[in-house]
Amino acid sequence: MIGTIVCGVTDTQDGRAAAQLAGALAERLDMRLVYAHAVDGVSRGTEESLTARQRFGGAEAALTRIAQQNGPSRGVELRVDFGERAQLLAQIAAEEGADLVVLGSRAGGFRGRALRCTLARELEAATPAPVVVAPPQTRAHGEERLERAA
Amino acid sequence: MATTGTILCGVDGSEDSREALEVAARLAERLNDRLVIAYVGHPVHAPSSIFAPSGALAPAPIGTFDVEVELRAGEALLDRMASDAGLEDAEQRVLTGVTAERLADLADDEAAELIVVGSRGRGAFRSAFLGSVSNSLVGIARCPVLVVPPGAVETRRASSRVTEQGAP
Repeated sequence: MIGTIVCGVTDTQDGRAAAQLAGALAERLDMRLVYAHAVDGVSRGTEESLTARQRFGGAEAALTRIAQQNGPSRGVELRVDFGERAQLLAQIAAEEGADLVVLGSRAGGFRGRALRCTLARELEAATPAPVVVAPPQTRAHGEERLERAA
Repeated sequence: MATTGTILCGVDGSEDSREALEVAARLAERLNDRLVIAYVGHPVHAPSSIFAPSGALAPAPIGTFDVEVELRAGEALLDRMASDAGLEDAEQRVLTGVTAERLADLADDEAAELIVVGSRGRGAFRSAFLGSVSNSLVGIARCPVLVVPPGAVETRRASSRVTEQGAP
């Protein structure tokens, strides 16, 4: 295996689309894959609270399920942590020596042409790794092509 | 060996787009994909269209631009960039219009599985339009978009050197 892909995964349609795309890329490029999820909005020092632990456990369970459904055949590593999404993903990408970061996006605005993926722009500034943005499933064609080729 | 898919790389001659081309070429090689390099020219208004033959001021047709000049400049740019990157075999496309829209349409026409662009382009008001093409493209493309940030290639080279030499 040469290189590492870090994929920011959320339990949403677009998060799963990103997981699927990252899985197909990892398979075809023979790269190691890490699914990462940030549990955000938890104040420092309250990580051990019941609510925070429940959210953490829920995120781990969701990530495990998404990995089983979308990960490459040789498996995927999972990382869940507390923190603001862009910062944490950039940190994980740096720690894992990521060669690629994969994210999902949501269509929005007039006729769905405006992008609601501020995370991608924030990450672009925070990490030197190239960022792949999966299109919203409503207009995705390329992922199907990638999966067919995988 | 037959290629399996297509990677489309949008370039404009900027340093970021050179890095994007390097990343796209590496990916195409590893995926055994066809590489298409594209340049989208912007309308260049022809000054002669402002004046009537007699020299009298005439209304300029809205949207008039010298397509031939733009296409020739685009072809020269692509030839130069492909040659510099050792990618003489890559296919080249020159288009005119709104960059993000034309690249998204071209990706559909070429059945591209991935579009690769630099995160910033060139232009007089660069700071005002930081990443505007990549951002617009991500908003309209129907296939995944890979955005290469500045310094990505150099960072990768540095990390490869450390790996080859062995970490302390």
